[in-house]
Amino acid sequence: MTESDYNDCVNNYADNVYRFIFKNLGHEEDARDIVQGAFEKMWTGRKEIDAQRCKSYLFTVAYNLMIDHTRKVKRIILKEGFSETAGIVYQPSGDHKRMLETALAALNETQRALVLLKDYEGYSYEEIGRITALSESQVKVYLFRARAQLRALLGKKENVL
Amino acid sequence: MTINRQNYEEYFMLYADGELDERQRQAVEEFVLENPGLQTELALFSELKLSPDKEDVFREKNVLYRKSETSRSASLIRWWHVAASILILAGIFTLINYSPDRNAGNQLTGRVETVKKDTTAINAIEEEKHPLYRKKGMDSMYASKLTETGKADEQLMPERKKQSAVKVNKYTNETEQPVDNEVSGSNQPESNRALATRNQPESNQVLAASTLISHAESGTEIKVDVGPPEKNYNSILTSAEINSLPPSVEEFPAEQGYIATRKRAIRSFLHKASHIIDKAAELRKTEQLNIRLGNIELAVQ
Repeated sequence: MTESDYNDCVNNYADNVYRFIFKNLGHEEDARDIVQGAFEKMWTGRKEIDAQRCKSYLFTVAYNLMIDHTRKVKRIILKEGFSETAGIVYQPSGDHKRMLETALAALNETQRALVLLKDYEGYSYEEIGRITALSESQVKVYLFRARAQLRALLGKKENVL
Repeated sequence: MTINRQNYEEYFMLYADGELDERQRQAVEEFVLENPGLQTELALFSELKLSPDKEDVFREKNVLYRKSETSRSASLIRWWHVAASILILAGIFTLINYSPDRNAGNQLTGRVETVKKDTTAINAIEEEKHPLYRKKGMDSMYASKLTETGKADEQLMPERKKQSAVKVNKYTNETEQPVDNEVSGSNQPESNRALATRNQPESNQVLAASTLISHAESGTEIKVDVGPPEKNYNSILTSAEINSLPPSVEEFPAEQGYIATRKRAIRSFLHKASHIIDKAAELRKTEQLNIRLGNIELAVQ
């Protein structure tokens, strides 16, 4: 990766990776620090990085930094179950996105990261597995659980109506 | 593996995530057509897809951009080189042009060079008139004369060594004399009188030439009629002697006036300075913290 490739990567993917981290952490300053750290690492190791894969590299580094960060500050409480949020009812139209994001925040960090990588960036399960150091089948299982929780949050539509 | 009512949710999710190939997608769609009650669930999986919020952007991208250290340092070094060179050259230029002593030196050097040019012209005229007359012959002649004159003339040698800084030519010593006169600020009427009593008629011609040359700086036309070398022998000796005598003030009234004015100004300044120092010393004796400059006394609390 050349200097130009690096700066192109900043132009093309800085917003994406920031959005991904910010939606995971819900904290703007921490997300900014992590993005800067990810780009710093990419700049340091730019000679060994393929420019064609800079986005995957960037998301991988940012994801790992985020995991380290959350483990350190314990800002996010991992929740494997869904029982606590089962009572949330679905509200259609304009509030759909907000409700979905609220439901997203209720997921654990791994599930949330997988959902964001899939929905925001359109990565395939295989690519998500490379970024998160999971197998493709693990990605599928975790995502399925995440979707199930989201559906449970939003699937009470008929109860609202 | 085929889709059925036990595993349809997984297929619905894969369908919504775009992870199925064309054949599997058709299988899911056929399954939904066979089970219309599950269409809502398939639509719900599609609604679970999140869309990125375009307002969430990284605003401080300038902190992320990087530039190679090599190119940046190279450009900085280039700028430093240029800046340092300009500063050094400007400093040297200022010192050369604004130093009062240097200016004075330049004036003197300029005058000396003017006199040199004039003497060169005179040499050329003399050589035209007397082809046999050559500097080399004059050198040997002057050396033999020095031997004859003994100690008295040897005293002239340090004087000539001083003049060698202005490139001394034995035959042009007379013309360079005004420069020394100007520097020393001495008088020269005595030298003229000495010449009048000592010189032969032929040597007077050379003396006249030297006098004319000394005024060449003012731009007057120089006409020199110099006799044969043998006849000028005495005149050269007398010119050398004249060089050791104080120069004439009358020949350079303007320069002499300038020097006198400078001397008076310096003397006046030193006189006033000594007064101020005396007064300051008196104040120090009385242990008063006052500052007096001339007639003005400042009291410091």
